[in-house]
Amino acid sequence: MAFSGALTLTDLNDFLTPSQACIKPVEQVNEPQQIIEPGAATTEIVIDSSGSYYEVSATGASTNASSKGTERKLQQAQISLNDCLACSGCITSAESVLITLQSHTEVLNFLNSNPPVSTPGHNIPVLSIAPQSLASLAASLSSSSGSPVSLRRILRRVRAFSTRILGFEHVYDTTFARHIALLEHTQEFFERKRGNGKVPMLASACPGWICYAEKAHSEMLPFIARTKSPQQVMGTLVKSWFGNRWGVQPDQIYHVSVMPCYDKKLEASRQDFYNDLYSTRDVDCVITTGELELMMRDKGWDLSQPVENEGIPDFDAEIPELLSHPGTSSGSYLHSLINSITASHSSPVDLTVKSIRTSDYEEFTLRARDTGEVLFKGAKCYGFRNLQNVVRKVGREAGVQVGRGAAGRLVGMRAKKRGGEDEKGYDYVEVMACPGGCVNGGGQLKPIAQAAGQKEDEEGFTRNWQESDVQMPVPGEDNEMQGAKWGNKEWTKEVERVYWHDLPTPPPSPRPDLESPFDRADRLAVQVKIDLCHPTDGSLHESWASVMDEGAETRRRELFRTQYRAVESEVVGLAVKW
Amino acid sequence: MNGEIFNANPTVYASKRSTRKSKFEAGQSLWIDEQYQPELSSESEVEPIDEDEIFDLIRSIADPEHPNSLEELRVVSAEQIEMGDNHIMVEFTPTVPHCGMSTLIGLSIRVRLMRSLPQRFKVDIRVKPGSHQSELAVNKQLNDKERVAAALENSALVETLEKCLEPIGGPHSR
Amino acid sequence: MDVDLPYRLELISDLPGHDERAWQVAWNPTKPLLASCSADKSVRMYSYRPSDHGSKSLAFSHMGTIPTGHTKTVRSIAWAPSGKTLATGSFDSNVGIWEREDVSDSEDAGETAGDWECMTLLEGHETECKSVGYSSSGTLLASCSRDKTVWIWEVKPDADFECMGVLMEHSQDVKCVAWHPSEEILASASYDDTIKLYIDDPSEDWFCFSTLSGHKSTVWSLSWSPQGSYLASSSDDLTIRIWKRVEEHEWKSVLELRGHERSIYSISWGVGKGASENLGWLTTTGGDGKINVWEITEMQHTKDPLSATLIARISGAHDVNDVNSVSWCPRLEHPDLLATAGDDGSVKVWRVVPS
Repeated sequence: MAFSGALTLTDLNDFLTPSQACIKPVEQVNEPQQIIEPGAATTEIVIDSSGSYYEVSATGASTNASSKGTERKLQQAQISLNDCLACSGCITSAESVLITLQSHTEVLNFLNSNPPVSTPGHNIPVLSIAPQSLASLAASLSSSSGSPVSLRRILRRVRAFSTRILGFEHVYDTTFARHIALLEHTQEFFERKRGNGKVPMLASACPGWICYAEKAHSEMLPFIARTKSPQQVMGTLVKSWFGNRWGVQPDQIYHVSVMPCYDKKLEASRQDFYNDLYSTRDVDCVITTGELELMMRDKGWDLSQPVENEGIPDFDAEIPELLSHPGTSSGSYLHSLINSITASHSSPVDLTVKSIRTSDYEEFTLRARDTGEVLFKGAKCYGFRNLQNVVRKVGREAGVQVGRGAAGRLVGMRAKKRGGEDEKGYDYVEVMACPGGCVNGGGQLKPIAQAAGQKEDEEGFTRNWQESDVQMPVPGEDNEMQGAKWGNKEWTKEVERVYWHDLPTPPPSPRPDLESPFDRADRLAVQVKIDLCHPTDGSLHESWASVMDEGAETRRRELFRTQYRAVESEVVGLAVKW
Repeated sequence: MNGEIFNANPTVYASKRSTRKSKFEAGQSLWIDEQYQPELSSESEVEPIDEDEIFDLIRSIADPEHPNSLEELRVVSAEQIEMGDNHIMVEFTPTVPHCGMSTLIGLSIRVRLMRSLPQRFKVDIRVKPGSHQSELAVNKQLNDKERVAAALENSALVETLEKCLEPIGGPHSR
Repeated sequence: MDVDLPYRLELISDLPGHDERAWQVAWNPTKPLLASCSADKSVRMYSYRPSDHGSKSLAFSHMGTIPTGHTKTVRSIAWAPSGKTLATGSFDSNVGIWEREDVSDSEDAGETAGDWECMTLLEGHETECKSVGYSSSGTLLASCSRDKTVWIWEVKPDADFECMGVLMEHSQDVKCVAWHPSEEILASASYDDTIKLYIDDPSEDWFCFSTLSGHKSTVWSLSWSPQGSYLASSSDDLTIRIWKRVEEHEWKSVLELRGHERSIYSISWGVGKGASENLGWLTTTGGDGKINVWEITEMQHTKDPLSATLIARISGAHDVNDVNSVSWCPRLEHPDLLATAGDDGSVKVWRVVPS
């Protein structure tokens, strides 16, 4: 099994440290042998032409060559992504071996073996791409060509490549799915505030954070929003909602998503997102931005070449495209709550933002202007380090035991006297595992090294950097010590800038007959809800938040929410890495 | 990284030589009686210990994955033991060059010697040069006392080690 | 042989007590207290005072044991510069922070240690914590682990801590962390044979600004020179290296010393008692059971910027056992006092005296 060409260990800069302690390889325990005769029980392992392993009893074979009982086929060690989720050996997914199971080669293999349209067995191939991936491609293209390219143009070009070259039939971005996720997420937040669940609510969109919490901080799981991530909402949309519209079953669609993050592969592999009835996943395969870029290069596709009508918004698209939710480039979860509380509050409110050391940790406080009452306190918290502090803070405020170690067992551990703390705790934290958030995901494109080295770029590239107050590290100079670190950071800022570049998205020539993209998204979201949840009073629902009958509400939870479980894998002595 | 993942079944060689019945295998050698803790009250009571005695201590250790002793698998031999003044060097030969169990085998040898020998002995354990693809890494780990100490506080690992250290064919044999 | 050396190590006190291997000793910087930690999961505290026999002599007495409650070996201990807080790093992957309730600032040696309390527990390491250390100002705490990471915590009021950085620079087990004696520079030593140096970027995060390569095996221990312009390291390659600060952010290996037959587990650089122009005394110990003491002198007119002279040595310091830790007493009145901890579970206190 060869590694995917796009993947090397150095690409895996997921920010949680990969562990050496994968328990899977040696979990196969040899059956105890019946007779143990010192000096006689000798075995050999042979490998046949098909590459299967057999254990052969050497003495048995020589005395009784026809005896088949002495030959025992050995299992080959296999690891699935699901195994990874069930194992606490690694704290995160960044195990290159596993990623081969969800790779661009897998996508190509599938597409090659997919029977032609309208022949039996044909699956409809669908590609969904995250806006952060578009931003990464756009930033990379902009920096190499010197002229800015919008996300819309990138989406059009990716669509052209995916349909014309690869054979995808539909290509979407995931922002409408995110819109639904934000609606559901807001609804969940208010449910929790009403006492139905724990507060602070913590974001659920980052699979790195989810994995880490399940493996190392199970005490945090009740706080994590149960709302599905945009990727998985998109999975539901594609397999169920579009499937219905197209008149096909979920297993007749092959759904690939392009994500800024390796851990999204793990997310898609979760058993919660597996449809037992049709034996299919909501997202069949996840590839990273880097893998998509590699596929384009392999196929000779030049992303810098415009395609027809690429600059014109498509108001008739099946679902609204490139919805830009104001707030953060990691999904605007916090801001969607702030906006919703602001809108629902009867009197004016003031928002204050306090940066704690860096922009990766910011506190947002919403106060009523008249009374000064704190209506909401939230934080965005990105990166492993800040995540530690949030875990400590939330654990302390909520009075839950933190961690998996000897917590609380220390002799004479002093009970914390924090009664006098008058500071209000958080209502919500937008947690992301990567510093800088999703635009800096492990699957994103890397900054172009040469570009950084060229001080006098003839295309004015350098000037652009300096205008935007960006200093690229120059490899080889004495600030090399900071290169790796700052290079990444500055590049992240650039991707962030490109992400917001052509936003907000008003139509270039406003047409009065068109509703705004967000109004359309809201309307369509309700349609999705009605179509999928089948409320008995279907036509009466005008907003996502309106409560349906019990059966429909149950379906809604099944479709748009998920669950988490603490991972406490049994430790196999043979596999302990020490 | 790969190598360690797909090495669940190292090749097992037949032992051509008939097993010598040592007093250890036959019965209860003082050396492996765990109740026996050699008292080293003074240097004057130092007993000479030779390579054969060291070999007797480690020959019966079971392979972690197979119902064979390290001697039967020719992982250890008397020739691969070197005695110095209060110093012992034990060399072992992994069954296959990518044997992922090498550190566990080495650790079981170390633990057996640690439990059996007076403290004055400094023990070095290494794989036979050229016999393992991660020779240096294995040697480094086996001779890092801090790593060894921490390993011996890992209950799952210790449980596995104890199985290796049980006499083969004994009442607690697998 | 050793008799030719100008000094010798005189055993001041032999303090058995740990049930298992003693891993580290740590002198309290402000009070006459010596702490040791062990595989027996406890921390033992000893107080000392001038003995009745004479002013030069010191009497050590056990004043208490903290059972800690760590579930595995307590591998490392470190005092805060205030002398009021003790950090413990354990193989159970946690760091404990200990203070004495209602601390009186008296140096009353008669106090018991029963009132040491765990103020907080710092979790985060995935595997064994190998070393802990407070910065010179006492506002930062660093820890390192086999999980290859170095963590930096900010010490906040009310025994609260905030994680300031998780540094994933080493490719292997991190054995030791050591803070610069006056600046906020952190050094870490690793099983990957390197030493890494870190500083804070106030607007961003902590980062590694330099990697010191040269050792050919695990670097076990680090010690900064008292003035901070040198860093000494000891290794499994049986060498001691001294690294000189040649630029603000650049250190270069300037001296390599030999003098041990097995892994050198611990190194400590004290002010020493020799002539004022020397850079102090460096002591090392390790798996060969030896304690070496070197006098380090800055050279003016030779090609080597430093010279080291072995001034004292003792073999079999803890009988046949490995010696795991050596540490100079940081209190100015005892520049010639050092303590060691060994596999025999005992702590020994030595004075370097003229032969």
